[in-house]
Amino acid sequence: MSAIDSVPVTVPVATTSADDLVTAFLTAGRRHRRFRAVAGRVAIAVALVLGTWYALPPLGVVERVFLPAPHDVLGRLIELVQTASLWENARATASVALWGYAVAIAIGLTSGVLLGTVPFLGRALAPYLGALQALPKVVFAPLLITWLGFGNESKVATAAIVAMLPIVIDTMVGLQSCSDDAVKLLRSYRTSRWRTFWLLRVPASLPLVFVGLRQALLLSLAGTLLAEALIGSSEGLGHLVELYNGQILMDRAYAVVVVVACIALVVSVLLAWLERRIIYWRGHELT
Amino acid sequence: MKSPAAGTPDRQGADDALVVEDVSHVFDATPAPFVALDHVDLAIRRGEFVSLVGRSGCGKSSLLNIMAGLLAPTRGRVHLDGTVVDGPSRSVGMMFQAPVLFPWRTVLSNVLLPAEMLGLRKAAYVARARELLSTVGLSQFERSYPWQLSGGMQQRVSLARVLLLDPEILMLDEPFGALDEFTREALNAELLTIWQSSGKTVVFVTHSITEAVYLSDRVVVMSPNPGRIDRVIDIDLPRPRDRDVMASSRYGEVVVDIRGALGLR
Repeated sequence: MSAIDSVPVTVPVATTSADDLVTAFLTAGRRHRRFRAVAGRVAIAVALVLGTWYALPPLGVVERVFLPAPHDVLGRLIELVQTASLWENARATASVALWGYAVAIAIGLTSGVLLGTVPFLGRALAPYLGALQALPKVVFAPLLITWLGFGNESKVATAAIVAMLPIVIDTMVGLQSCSDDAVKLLRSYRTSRWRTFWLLRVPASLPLVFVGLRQALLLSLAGTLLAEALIGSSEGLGHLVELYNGQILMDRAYAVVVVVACIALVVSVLLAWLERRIIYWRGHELT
Repeated sequence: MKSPAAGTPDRQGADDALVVEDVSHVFDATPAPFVALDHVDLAIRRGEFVSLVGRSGCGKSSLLNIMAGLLAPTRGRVHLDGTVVDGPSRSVGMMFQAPVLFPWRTVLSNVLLPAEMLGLRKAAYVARARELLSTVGLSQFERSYPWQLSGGMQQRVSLARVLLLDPEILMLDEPFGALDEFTREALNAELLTIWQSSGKTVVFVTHSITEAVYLSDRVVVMSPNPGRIDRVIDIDLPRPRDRDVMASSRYGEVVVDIRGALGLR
């Protein structure tokens, strides 16, 4: 019917680990068994990671100096979370990542809606989105520094650019891919384009839009960390990892990595929870 | 060929709700264009229950879409209440094989959808929507979501929705085709009751000969390649009909007659 033919449709996949955790949490009261099953899976994953981590230096794959033992990292982590400096840097990173995310949402939703509702634009530009998707967006970071300087603006811009594309594509595809019967039904009532948009296309696109929004938040965090490390920033968790790495204080560097991982996990769980509240019909999409 | 001026009901009798006049429809296809309908004429009387039966590809759904104003025919025209159809009309309500209920809306809110689609004041239709839900036996489910209901219940909601704005003509495209035999019979019986008490005109597309005979005043038998009307068969079984009619010998004769017309022996 429109540009949908030329863009691979990303089907919302419901089985991310954040999803599992939310499911486990929501049903914990009623279904202990399900919770235990998920807890068991998590335990296996943790054991595998820790086991490999401990095993690598003795096997001669990497030197102990560059890969400190997990318990050393844990010790550093406990010290680190008690310092004000870590939280200041975490705040700086969160601030840039959220601003980048906000910009990505604003631009991404706007262009996604335009591409998804103006068939001419969709057809003309959709092919390039695929190509753009293959391009590592970090290559823009140096250009952005040239344009915007070394301040937060270039970091926010990097985060936004890294995060934007999934929102654009998922919004566009979500708006285009509507059940034929539903479109026919609305047409049989001569429903105006405007009403069709709000009554059908927007709600029908929400599950896919949310897939994009979730990807984008984590991408924005990744973009921020990369920018902080690349741009010679003086603050942020990315800068901290880069700093400790340069001083070969590997246990501290890994401790910061653990903090980043925890933030990412908390954020995805929050978003998965929000998604369930907003898209309560998920899994029963209009077909 | 001479054609009458637009809007003149010259070929339309006073009792005709819908007149299909020399309609042909060709779909662009490779390697050759596909003739979905070839010179089709049909008049449907006000209050009549007419079924279209035929094999896949005989053009029955295309004909329905053309009558509903959703598809512009390659040639010919359709008169609805004396005016030429040039698009969907409010006096026609459509129902499909899929219930097409919006999963983010409650049952009641789905039934109210036609009012919202036309930009009418929703509050004015709530009482009627509730009444219709009670007609189809779903009063206590008005706050449920469609996906919490069975397939048959979903199709009942869809039936209530199509009745909301009280269309004169119902165009039903295999509405119960995806349901099991038991649910299907129950819904057919309900449809008959609703039709009988409302006096609406019904055009019903189906694959099932027995269903068509049980429900209809006339059965239009179509054949594919190119899509044509082979025969129009009057069903002279007494009304009101219930399941007992299926046990009558006349019922059997009519079914055999239609099977013959479809080339089934």
